[in-house]
Amino acid sequence: MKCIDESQILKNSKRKSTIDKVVGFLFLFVTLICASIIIFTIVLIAYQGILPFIKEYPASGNQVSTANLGIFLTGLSWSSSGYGAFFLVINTLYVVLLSAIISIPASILTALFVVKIAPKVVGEIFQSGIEMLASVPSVIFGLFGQGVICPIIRDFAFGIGLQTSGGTSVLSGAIVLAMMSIPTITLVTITSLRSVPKTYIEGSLALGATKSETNFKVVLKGATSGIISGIILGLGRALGEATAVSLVIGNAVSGPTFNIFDIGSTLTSIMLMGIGESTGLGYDIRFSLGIMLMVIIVLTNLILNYVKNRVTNPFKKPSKILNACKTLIIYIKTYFKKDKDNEESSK
Amino acid sequence: MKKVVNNSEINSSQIMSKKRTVKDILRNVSTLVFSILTLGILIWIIIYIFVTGAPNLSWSFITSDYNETSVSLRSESDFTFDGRDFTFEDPNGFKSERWGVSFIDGKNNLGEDVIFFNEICENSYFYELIDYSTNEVFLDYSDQYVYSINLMLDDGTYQIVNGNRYSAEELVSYLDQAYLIDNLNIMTVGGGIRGSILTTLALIGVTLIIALPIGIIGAIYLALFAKKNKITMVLRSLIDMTSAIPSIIFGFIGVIIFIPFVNSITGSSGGSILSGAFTLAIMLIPTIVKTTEESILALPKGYMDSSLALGASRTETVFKVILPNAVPGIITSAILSIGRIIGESAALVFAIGASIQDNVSLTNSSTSLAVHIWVLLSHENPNYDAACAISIIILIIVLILSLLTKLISYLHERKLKRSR
Repeated sequence: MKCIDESQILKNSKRKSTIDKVVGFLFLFVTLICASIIIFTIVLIAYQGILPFIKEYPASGNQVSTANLGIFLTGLSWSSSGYGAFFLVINTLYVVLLSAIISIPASILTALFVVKIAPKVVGEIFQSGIEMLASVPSVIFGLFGQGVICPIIRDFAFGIGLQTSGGTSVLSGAIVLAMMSIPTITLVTITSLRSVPKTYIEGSLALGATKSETNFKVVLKGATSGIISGIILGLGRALGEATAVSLVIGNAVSGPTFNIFDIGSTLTSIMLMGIGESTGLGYDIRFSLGIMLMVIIVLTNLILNYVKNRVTNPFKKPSKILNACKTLIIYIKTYFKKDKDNEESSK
Repeated sequence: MKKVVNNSEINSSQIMSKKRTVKDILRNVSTLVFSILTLGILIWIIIYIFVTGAPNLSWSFITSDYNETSVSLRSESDFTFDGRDFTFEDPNGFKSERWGVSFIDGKNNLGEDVIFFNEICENSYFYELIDYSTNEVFLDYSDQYVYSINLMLDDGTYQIVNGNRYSAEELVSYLDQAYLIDNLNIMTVGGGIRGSILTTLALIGVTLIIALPIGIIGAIYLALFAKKNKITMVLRSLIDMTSAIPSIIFGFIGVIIFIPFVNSITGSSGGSILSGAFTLAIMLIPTIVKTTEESILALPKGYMDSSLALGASRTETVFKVILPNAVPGIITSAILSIGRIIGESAALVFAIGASIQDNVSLTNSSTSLAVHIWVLLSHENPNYDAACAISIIILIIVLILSLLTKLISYLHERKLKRSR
């Protein structure tokens, strides 16, 4: 039998604990790398995006050109003579809003059907169908949009006496984006509908509400925060989507356009336009669009998160700034009301 | 009860209930309609892609090159007709009785009008033409079309017939007056996806080699080593937030960092498969960390505790107990990553480039299947047939992968249940 004395055990355990520490530090280092990806990404895009406004790019002849920040923030056309991105922001938000109008009701109703209304087997079939739809790559949605949706839009517009450029339009873009965000929103909504406490439903039924009244007025309310998380994810996917949109939206270089049958463009579709051809300023200005895109995504997330918090905790006190805004609005209202009262009394 | 309420109240409550039933039905029907619409999108996409793409999907489509290759041929210098007869089996096409060959009009993969070989008789003079570069007799005319042909006519003139300017009928009428073929330039049809398939496979391999170890180590740290404090929380939320960045932004990172990085190491120029793989790797690491961490946390807690209690160190426990049991979770995250690599297009357009290549190497630019579809579609006259054929391949792979993940998680759960 092997004899182990105490000092050896101690030595052994000490060695093991040092190995543990070293491995722990190594693993921490790798984890730090994983976590720093987002910081690096933001810093690099910000740096490269600001560069076009500072650096001098060689232009035709001996001249140099630099992008103009004022034009970039307010401009309504995108060309080598001036890169204006304001119309892109407006159009991006418009297209995503249109797609949200289609996708949000469709996804919520679909999720409700899958969880509460359909028989179990049918619900499972629908759910796996939606999971499949979620795994379809975006470029295939673009192919479907260009091959099927655009001709339909073209014929429809022709039927009501409008001209489109082969069906590529803001509406086609919105429909394709809606199709892509429906599975995302639906799957998250399904999860949150499943987690609504059974007591809510039983209570509502006991009070005499019918099943569908319970579903629409109690279950949906109980799942609101989950539904909004789904909407955040879905809109995030729609805002950041590039290839599918660039295939169906028509890539207009000026705008903004609010006519749904007109060709439009989004931040991402302009980023992909003329890829591989341009160098210098025309290429680097894309990174500035990248900053714009990230800012929009962060802002929408913040707004929707705020809405989510308000809906889930309506009794939480609003912050000081909001209180100030509210008081200001009340003041303005009373001021105008006074004017009205004065007018009425003078009559 | 009923006796107590008076008539009017009963009526009103009946009306109410009628209204309520109608509303109930409307609500339920609306959910049904929208869910059928949602499922309809999937079915419609699948039907469209299969109907349009299936006729074009063939083994030669998968294995052939995208770019056209051309061959120049000529008659032998001492060529004369020896008065042989030709029998055509195919009644279609415009036949040249003099040379024993028939042609037909068609389109190449760029959509240009060109002239295809329809039939070449067994004893045709075309099987005696010589390749300019190798000086050997050329025999393989399958999938070839005529780019141009230079002829010596009987009346002593020299005639050049371009495939995209003349029809098959005109070509045959000139051929029947010709006594010598000075230069026959033929091309393969091209349009195949061999290069893109190889690129996709290379991307999957290299990306997983880079991303999997980093992701797994990150997951192990977060699940087993990290203390529950604010720093860990920040790390976790930073990793979560990374997945909210749109893929096109990662493409920019590829352009800014990885393309110059790979170029400075390997001496290549422009985007390469390596730079694309690095870009995809940083895109996928957060997903891998999350799925692997979840699968580690789902393991019974007793594994870790009993291993530690038996005197094994934390490191030994990780490598000998936790990792072998977390293999199904790791495979799942790898499969999810493969699915995303196959479907990714926006990031790769920037990080690799959008020029379709046949000679694939790690340090050169080429396209994955998804980017190949995008390139085909952003062309002036989009090639839907080829795009749908590629989509069939992508869809089938993606669906098989998602079924695989389901199967693995089912088997794993059953195993865990048994072990409890």
